[in-house]
Amino acid sequence: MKTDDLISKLSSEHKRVEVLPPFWKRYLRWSLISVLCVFTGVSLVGIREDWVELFKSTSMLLQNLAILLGALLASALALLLSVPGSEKNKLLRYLVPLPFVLWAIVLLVRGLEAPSFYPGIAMGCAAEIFSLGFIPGILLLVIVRRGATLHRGKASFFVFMAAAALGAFGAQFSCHNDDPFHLLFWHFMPVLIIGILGVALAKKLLKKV
Amino acid sequence: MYKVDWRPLELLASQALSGDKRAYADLLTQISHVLKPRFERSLPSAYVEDALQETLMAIHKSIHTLDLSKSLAAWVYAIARYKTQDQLRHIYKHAVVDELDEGALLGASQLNQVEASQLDVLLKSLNERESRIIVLLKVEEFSVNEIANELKMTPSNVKVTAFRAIRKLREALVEEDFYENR
Repeated sequence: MKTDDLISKLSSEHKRVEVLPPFWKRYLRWSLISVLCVFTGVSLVGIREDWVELFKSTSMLLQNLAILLGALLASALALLLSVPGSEKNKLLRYLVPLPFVLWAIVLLVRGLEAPSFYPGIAMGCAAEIFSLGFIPGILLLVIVRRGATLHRGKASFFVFMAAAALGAFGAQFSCHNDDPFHLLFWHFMPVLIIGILGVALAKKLLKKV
Repeated sequence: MYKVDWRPLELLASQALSGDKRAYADLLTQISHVLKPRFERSLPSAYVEDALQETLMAIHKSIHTLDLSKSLAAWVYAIARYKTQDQLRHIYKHAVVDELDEGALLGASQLNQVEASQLDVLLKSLNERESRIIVLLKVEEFSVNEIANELKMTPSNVKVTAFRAIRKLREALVEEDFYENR
């Protein structure tokens, strides 16, 4: 088919276009619903009795802020990646890994001070992160799918990271174990693994433009 | 290289978004005029039209993400860049297969010049699977499909493995200086 014929064909099919809502609208909507979902989930699972302590300890406060910031930045980048031309936001691209790196550093530094290395086995925490992040993840995926994602692997990675980080944020309020190695192996690692799973599933979840 | 004035295109785009078919056709035509020279610079001529048409179809599919408060050029170029990379990947993949089919890297004539004892030495530079594929392909003259059935691989996997093996053989030939010794 010649290019002119293709243009005629495409223009004959053309109708009035319902344009995607602006980025900030989609982002705010998702953030509000997701934070509500996570808090509802945590209240169903059961919030830890000493949750106020999470805001008194500098290390826990820093971790919680890093996780929440990581989730919010990752979701912002995933949404930007769903619009061609917007993905060139270099500032956001470099900012996204920082909260996760900060979280890992805080845990490692606290780990060095810990008397023993005992991460234990806590599949429950990993499952909780997954279940708390599930609905926000599905919502974000639906919003990203409505766009036109050129870099499917990256977008899917950030969708999964955002959802898992939100789940991990919720899990901080329900899990009683503040041991740095427990948090590193059963909170931080599942977030990373879920992110990698996102890359693996990218081609199945996001359609090619 | 002349600078593209995007303002008329942005006007066409805003009319196209409201459903104007004629403006949409004009917009696609103008975009194709802007992109064609770019594709001609970055792709072999045989692939230019394909890349252009792929880009126009991608634009058609993604038009709902166009935000006219932002740059139309950035939006169009992002799609065009993605389609160029797609075409380059396609070209590379097929170049591998074509080179193999034509025996361009290490033709049958070169391989025929290598004696059986030398072939044994050369095959040691390959792993077991590569060596098996080369023997089946070049010595026993199996077809790619027959090898794929024999080794339970896909034909394209056989071709790629053979291509890599041939490249290793060529490097081994150069190292061993077989050409000079003959």
